[in-house]
Amino acid sequence: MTEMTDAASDDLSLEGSLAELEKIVRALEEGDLTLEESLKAFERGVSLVRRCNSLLDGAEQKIEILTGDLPEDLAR
Amino acid sequence: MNRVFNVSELNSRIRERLTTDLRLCDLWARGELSNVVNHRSGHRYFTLKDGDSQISCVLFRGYSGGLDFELENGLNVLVYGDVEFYRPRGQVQILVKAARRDSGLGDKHLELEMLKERLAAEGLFDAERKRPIPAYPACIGVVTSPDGAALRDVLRVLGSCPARIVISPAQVQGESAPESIASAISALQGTADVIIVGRGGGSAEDLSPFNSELVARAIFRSSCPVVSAVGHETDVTIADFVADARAPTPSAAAEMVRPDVERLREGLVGIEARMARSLSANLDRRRARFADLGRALSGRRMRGIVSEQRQNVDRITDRLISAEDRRVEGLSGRLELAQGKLDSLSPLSTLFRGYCIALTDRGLARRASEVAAGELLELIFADGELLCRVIEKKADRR
Repeated sequence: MTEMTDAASDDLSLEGSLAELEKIVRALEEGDLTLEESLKAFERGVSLVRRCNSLLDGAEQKIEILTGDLPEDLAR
Repeated sequence: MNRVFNVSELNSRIRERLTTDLRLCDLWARGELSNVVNHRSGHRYFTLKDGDSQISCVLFRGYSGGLDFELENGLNVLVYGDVEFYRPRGQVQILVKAARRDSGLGDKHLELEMLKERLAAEGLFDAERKRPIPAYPACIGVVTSPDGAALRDVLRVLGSCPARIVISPAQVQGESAPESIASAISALQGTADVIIVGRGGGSAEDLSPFNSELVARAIFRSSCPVVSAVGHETDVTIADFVADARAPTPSAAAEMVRPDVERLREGLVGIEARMARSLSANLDRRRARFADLGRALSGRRMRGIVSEQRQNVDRITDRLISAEDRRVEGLSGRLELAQGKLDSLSPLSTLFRGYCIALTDRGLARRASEVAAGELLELIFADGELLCRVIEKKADRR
């Protein structure tokens, strides 16, 4: 669980957050963690869930174009 | 070694040789139809020939459904099938599975079929290499014309999904379209988590860039999954075969790629519940284990203490016993010693050796000078006493 540092949560993508959440849930369910570790994992998991929810809440269509300008009807 | 075959053996051998040659399977042959026989059984027999050669062909009833024209002598056709050897007549023939009229377009078709065959042989269409579309892509790439309806359809369906949408503009028809599409796909590598490649409906000619080798290879090289969305439902291109998933239309592609936000929200609630459940289960388990451990520990400690005490008792007992032994030994030793001493000092033992003790009425007489003549003496022997009178005193004998 070395990757479970709180600082990383802010730039984690939705998919990345979900992947980590999946890992955390599995680790918790396997029950091999120490008490300290599982509390930490739980905290981390809760903050990831919060992060995912805020990503979903804040979602609005973000369109970019690699070359040229976005057609007028699509630009906002 | 000259082996003599009978004809059946020989024909079997030839047949085996011909039918195991992969180059003689699934091939296209071009020629003119002659000797067409539509047999009562529904099978069709004909000869395919060109200026110099001819070969027999048979199209069994089961395959005739795929024919979209009547077989007539003199028609130029392309036939698809396997080379066979008909043993009873010793005849090489093509087992035809499909046939097309060979017009100008036939060449293009044939080319396309050949390309398809080549790419398939290389493994570009293999089902095993198809990757799943990520459930929650952070970035969705779209390769299409920025002016086309396809792009608008895709964006409308994607709506306000929690993902970046990056358009990589491409020219989707005309001479340079294959190159344009291929480089637009390459430009998204490293950025997109999934790519939609497509265009709206059009003529076969309009869709042909998606049948090009360039586009096929660009899709094949993509490091992220590609969803193809070319034309309408019925249009199938090589791009569709190579893509990780084929969508019948651009809108359908967007549908496939768009994260299911509602399910995701439910999933998050579920995850939270699972975490809480397993954490509390973990705590319960731990508590139970502590209790068990506590019990085990106290039992063990008790046993430990008892056995330690038991050993202590044993040790102390041993020590006591040996101390006692030593003490008794010591005592008896001393006793003997004292006894010995006592014995040797005792006047009694002297008496036993034959001496006697002389007493006057003043006490023990140690010297002759202490006793006067005529005096009474009491002589004590070991076995008794004598009362004597001193008759005479003599001078010292020594």
